[in-house]
Amino acid sequence: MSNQFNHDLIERYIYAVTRQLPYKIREDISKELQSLIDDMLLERCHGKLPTQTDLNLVLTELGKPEDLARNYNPDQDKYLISPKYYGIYKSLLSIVLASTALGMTIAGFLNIIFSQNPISLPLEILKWMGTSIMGLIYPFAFITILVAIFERKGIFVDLNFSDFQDLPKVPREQEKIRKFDCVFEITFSILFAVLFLFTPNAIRVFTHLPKSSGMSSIPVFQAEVIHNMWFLIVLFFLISITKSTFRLYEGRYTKRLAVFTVFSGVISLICAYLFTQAKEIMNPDFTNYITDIFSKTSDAAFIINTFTHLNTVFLAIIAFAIFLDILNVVIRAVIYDK
Amino acid sequence: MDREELISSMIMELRRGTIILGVLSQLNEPVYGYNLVNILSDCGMTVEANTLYPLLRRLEGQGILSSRWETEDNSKPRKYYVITDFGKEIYHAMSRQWSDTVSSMKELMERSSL
Repeated sequence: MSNQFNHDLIERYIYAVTRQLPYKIREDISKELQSLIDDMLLERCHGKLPTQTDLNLVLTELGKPEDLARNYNPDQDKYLISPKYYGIYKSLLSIVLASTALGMTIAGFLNIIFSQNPISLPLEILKWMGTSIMGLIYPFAFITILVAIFERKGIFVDLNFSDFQDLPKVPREQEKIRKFDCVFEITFSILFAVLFLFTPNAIRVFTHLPKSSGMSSIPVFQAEVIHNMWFLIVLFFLISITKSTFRLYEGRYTKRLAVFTVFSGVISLICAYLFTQAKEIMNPDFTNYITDIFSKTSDAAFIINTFTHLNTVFLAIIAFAIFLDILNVVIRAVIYDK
Repeated sequence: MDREELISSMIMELRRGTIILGVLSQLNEPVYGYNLVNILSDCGMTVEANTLYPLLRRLEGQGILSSRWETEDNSKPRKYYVITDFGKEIYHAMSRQWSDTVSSMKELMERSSL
């Protein structure tokens, strides 16, 4: 009876250790532990049948299964984000979450201000809190996954150089990318993304409409169309944030940064193109209004064209900004990263 | 961390590297894990089986030891470890370093007025 009990307990102990270990070494370690426990019992009992107490003492000497498993497999692949990446993770998370929270707050205010229908303030605040919590979960998940990928790929903190000669030289002042600029880029990207996603109606013109009394305003874009394309907006800003993060940790203009800037520029441009050229993105009320007020001026055609194709104007501005960014990074990388 | 804990963690730090040297010194002939625990303990070096077994496996992974399962006199199979040629090189380098350390520590402690 006791023997059967011991046998069962040994099996359970070994299983508790090996289940935490990589599959390919489990069988061998389990055989090894079985023979170790047999040896320890043999020594303790000098050939007599071991009692439950003997086995308990032996297992206590071996320690808790999780400690033993940790001795066998220290630290390997145990972390989603290991201590060496934790600093990066924490600072990124605080920048991103703080900016998102700020963006959500501004978006909440704007929504209340521009709401077409009468609203109940407590209800709006509750709604805003709900959206804010959801809105904070996404960037949290994104940053976690991003840093976990860095961890797996050994990006940023891979100091596996074989020779001190390979250590990067200290960048001169003009070669450095200022931390503040990157943080500013990240913050601004997030603010803009949040505002665009949650209050597309905030981009509007203020006017005295003929029929109404006092000030009124018309949104430039169709909120529903923008909402339907949320994935393009998200992708656009994710790329931009990833690029700024890369910049932040690179700290200088390098060739790989230039390559990534070109790559992210192309993707951003595609997103911007698909987004701004989407059908019915312009609010017809806005285009009609513009046509109305400018039809009598001398440069009517040009002005009306510009305003009714504000989406294309936006695309041109974005394309120009992307082009300048690529040009700046590529030229500096060619000059400084030799 | 209280006094006792601090002392024991300092001593553990000091012992850590010496365990490997002790283990390698005894593996010119194949020895199984628990026997090695006893050999070391007879010489005054107490190493728990739960530290030694994972260590042997790690050293094997580094090519310093090799192992094979053997069954002797109808007993259950046991895993025997023996030092490899590469392991011997490491052992000699480590023991030279150890001798140097011992003599310099001896001199430092003799000079010390503590």
